[in-house]
Amino acid sequence: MSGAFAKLGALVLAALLLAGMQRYTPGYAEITGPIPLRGEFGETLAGRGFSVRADNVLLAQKLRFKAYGREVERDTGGVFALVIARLEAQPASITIGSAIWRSAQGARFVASPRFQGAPRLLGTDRLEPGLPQRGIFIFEVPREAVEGATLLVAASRWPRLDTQAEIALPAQPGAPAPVIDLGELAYE
Amino acid sequence: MIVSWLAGLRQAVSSKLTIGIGGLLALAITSGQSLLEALEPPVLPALAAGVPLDAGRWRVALHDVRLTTQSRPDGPPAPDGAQFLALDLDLANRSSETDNTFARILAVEPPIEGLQPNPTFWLVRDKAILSALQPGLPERVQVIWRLAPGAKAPERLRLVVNGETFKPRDNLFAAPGWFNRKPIAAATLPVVSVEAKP
Repeated sequence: MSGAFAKLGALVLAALLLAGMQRYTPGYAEITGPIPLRGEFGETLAGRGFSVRADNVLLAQKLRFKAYGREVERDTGGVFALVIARLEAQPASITIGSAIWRSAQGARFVASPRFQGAPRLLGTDRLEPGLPQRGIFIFEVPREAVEGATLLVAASRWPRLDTQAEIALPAQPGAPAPVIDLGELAYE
Repeated sequence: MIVSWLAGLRQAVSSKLTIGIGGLLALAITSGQSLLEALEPPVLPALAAGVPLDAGRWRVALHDVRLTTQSRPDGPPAPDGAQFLALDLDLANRSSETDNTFARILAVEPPIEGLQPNPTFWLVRDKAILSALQPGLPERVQVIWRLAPGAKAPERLRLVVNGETFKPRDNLFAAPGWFNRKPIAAATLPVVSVEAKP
């Protein structure tokens, strides 16, 4: 009789163990995911392939710029968040293919594709070692996604076993300006 | 001697039965599945114009369909006298990440002869081609299909809206994602003919 109980107990234990492993073993995507490089606002983070420093965050309701000889004005249902940053390729040339505004709630906003041709847009040109670039990342986010956000910078949108710089942005970036002209922005 | 032989027989029979039952069960389940798939597809719920519908990662509301001579929301009439079908819709990204897979939301079903299968999605706010939608920021979008020259303009357009389900861990990489796209609603919209604005 006690043998049957022991068998049953072993079975239940094995089932629990398997269920636990299925639930809590990190998945392939997690194991081979980005390697986070966490840092503060204004600090230079040196990862594999590039270094990044975020210096300033600005909010705007409208953005104005000149692209391909035409004046363009963009408005939004949320707010534009601009991050002025400095990027440098570390040992070799690299293209920074991904900048993401991660809100405090966890939503990921990829840099807006509505600004093609805008001046000093980061992430579009290839970086060369020894030639740092200063410019902006432009995000379009709802107002509730502004506070407590994190800037994620990486060579690709879903880095695999590669650096992802994670910069905690200022919790309260201030009130949005009615309009910002990207041509007149102070980048330095 | 006989007892042990009988015990061996019992063992063999029971193991064969187990294997047989398992095989039959698997066969029954797969046959049932293919039977279910072969059955007539259920009638899709009707979607009225202007009513928002949650279709997986998108919230979509269809508005009016117009027959127009403009190939883009703000442009002049197309030079070769081509005709276009323009559909206004409100689109919101319900997922937690910027996304550009909106082209899979809508399908013209049944297909209309002479209608170009891949329409262009325009962001009305920018009068530019829509490249991605940010989560939580709904936008007015115009979808424009080109009609082949000489093709008869349809009187109504039946659109099927596809939905997807979210899986926190997929089967291959254990990564979150949207899967199992399937039609969840259908809308039949009248095609209104409009003159191009001068």
